[in-house]
Amino acid sequence: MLTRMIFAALLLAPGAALAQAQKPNDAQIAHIAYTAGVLDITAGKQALAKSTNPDVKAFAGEMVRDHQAVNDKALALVKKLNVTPEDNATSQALTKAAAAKQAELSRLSGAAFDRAYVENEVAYHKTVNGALKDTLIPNSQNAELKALLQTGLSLFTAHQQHAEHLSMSLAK
Amino acid sequence: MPPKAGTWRVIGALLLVGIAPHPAEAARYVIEIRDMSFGPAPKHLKVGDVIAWKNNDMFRHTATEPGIFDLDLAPGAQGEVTLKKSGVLKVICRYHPNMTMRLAVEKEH
Repeated sequence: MLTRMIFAALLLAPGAALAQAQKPNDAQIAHIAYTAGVLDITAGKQALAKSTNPDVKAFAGEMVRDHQAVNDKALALVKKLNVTPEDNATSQALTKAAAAKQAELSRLSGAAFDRAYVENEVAYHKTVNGALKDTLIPNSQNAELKALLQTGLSLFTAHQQHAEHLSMSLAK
Repeated sequence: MPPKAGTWRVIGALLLVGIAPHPAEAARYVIEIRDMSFGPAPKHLKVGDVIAWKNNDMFRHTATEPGIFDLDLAPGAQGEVTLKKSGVLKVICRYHPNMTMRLAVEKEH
């Protein structure tokens, strides 16, 4: 029950924060997308350090590698466009929620950790997918930024499916 | 007038070429990986054909038929396999299990 409540709260909290950001500008959008990647990389590194399940480790490795690849492109793009990513309420809310989750996960181990990590990955990717689709992509002005966000959306969607699949296999 | 000896030789050579079995022409195909998906599967594949996967995505991918072949492709990399048997191959990316493609391979040329 408690797990379900935390899960629901996590699902809602970043989503609500993302909804608050009315029409973010490109500098804020770049910051949010980059932050979302960094947070998932951090979570992946935590899982690589704590988990002993080969499927979970492979998934976490994929998160670290893929999000690093997008973020490298994002950094190169903002440099090229001479845009300085701008911190904002959405990035802060995401970071705060992720820090709380990381602390919670640090107290778990073994199968309990694996399940909680993967469940959160499902929820997290769902939230970020929603934000990309409904807020970040429609509001981005620069065509190259929009294209990169679209790549990010295909990536997050694939990751969400992988996480859902993994979550089901861990529940067995 | 009967044909000259030289003409016979030419006809003989032409016949020889015609009779000699045609070596099977293996084809080579390139499948592009982009935007987290495999490009379309080539049609009418035959045993002996070569398939190259070119990773034009920004992410690392694999083209894997479990137990048969496993190409690990960094961004920009390309790898190829020769089709060894007929049937349907189910190719996946090990890193992104939602990436799949089917290749229908017919018997030899």
